[in-house]
Amino acid sequence: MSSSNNSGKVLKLKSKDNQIFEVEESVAIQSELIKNVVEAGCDIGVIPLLTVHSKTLRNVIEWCQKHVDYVEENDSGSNEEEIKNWESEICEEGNNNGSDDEETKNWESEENNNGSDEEEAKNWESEGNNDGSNKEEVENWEWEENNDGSDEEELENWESKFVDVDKDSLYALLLAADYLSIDSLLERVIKQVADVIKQCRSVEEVRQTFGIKSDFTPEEEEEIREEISWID
Amino acid sequence: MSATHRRRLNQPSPDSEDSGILDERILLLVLESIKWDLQVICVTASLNRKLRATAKRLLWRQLCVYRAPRMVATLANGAPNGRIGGGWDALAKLMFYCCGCESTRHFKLSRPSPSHFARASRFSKTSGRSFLSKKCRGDLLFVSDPCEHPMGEKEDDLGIYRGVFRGFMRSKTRACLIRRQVAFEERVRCPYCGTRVWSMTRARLVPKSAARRLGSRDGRLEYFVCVNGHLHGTCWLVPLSSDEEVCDDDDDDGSEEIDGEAYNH
Repeated sequence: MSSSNNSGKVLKLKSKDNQIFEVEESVAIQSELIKNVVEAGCDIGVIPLLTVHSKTLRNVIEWCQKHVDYVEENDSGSNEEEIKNWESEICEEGNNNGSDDEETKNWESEENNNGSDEEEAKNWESEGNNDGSNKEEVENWEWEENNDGSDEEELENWESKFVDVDKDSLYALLLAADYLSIDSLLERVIKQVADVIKQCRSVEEVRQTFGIKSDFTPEEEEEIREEISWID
Repeated sequence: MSATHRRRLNQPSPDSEDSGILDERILLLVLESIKWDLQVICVTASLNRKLRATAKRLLWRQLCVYRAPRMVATLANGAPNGRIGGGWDALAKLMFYCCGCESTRHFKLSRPSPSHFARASRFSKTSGRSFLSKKCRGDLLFVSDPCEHPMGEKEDDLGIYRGVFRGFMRSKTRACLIRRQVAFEERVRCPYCGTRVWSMTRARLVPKSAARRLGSRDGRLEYFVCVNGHLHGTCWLVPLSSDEEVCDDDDDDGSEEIDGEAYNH
């Protein structure tokens, strides 16, 4: 499913518990840490990741792979070509006096409403414009929206499932993402932790969810409850 | 993401005790991502001793900085080791909580007015200057706009306001209070940090400009300052006719809006 990247280089990553993982460079460099190692030319042999357990590293690699796949699926050459086709067709239609700059001016200017410019405007304004001749431009131009955002949604759903794990796994992911410097993973896990906290309705529920034991005396508990009562 | 770049440590985490949500770095990352949500910080501070200490030392401060960066920068300027009189939690409460009012010796009410979470507050240095008597004008004081509490058809509205001194321990106001040997109030405490307070009315340190600033009749106000430099007070607000205006000549000078609404879910 994932197309091989250009260099095809494979890196060896070693987990805390000494397991070796072979990972394509394009996937591994989602981690800024690893990217720096590669760029500094230190990626000979095995890259040790001292704090990441194999269980977590496996998941992290899965995350990186998914994100590399996603980017490739949505940013492939074929789309670039479609955009070029659309651009040239726009230039051909309507008021073509051979000057691209002027073309730009004509359809960008909102004030400019003579007949030829209206046609210019129609060509690139896809909304409400569905006659046959323009339909193809519309589809090509709107390649992102034409996916119904389903790829983005699909990724979001995948990410949500990915972070729907027990709290220990969540922490391990969080610490790994921080150590390896993988922004996308870090952000998503942080969001998950924050969501879980916000869903808890009481201090006790947060304690239970995160396995935190209270070491306050009953008097202190009462005092604290009083102290924060002002936000209610 | 700035948090990542700022906090990246390519070192192993210290020990397993600090793992999970107790890991300070994780806590900061998570709370920053939710913009130092007040509710969440309160909950965090109630979980166990360690987190309570972390909240006191760090989290409340981050909240204050995030919500009122200019005011905090000014206040912290007078606090060399990063601490602030009364604690950052007291300041956070002062920023977001209108303390209501009860009858006092110099300010009588038919009935107490309730305290409440403050929706939006504006603190201003210029406003604060109006509350300093002439000899204390060198001090720096932030005061909020008065929060209006209607008292019914037959009475004027009550205005409740609050404020904070920068570096109160070294202020002229405090020196003055001590020199005059003003006694602490018997029955009033600071609603923000619980310490003893002086009545500025009793100390005769209320300038005429205070009432003008608030839009109140002369003499119909009272305010208190605590040992940590927190101020809270009340006044009767003159009903404004359409051609009167409350003095509002600052804004170029360190007034800061604090949005409490953003926290209230």
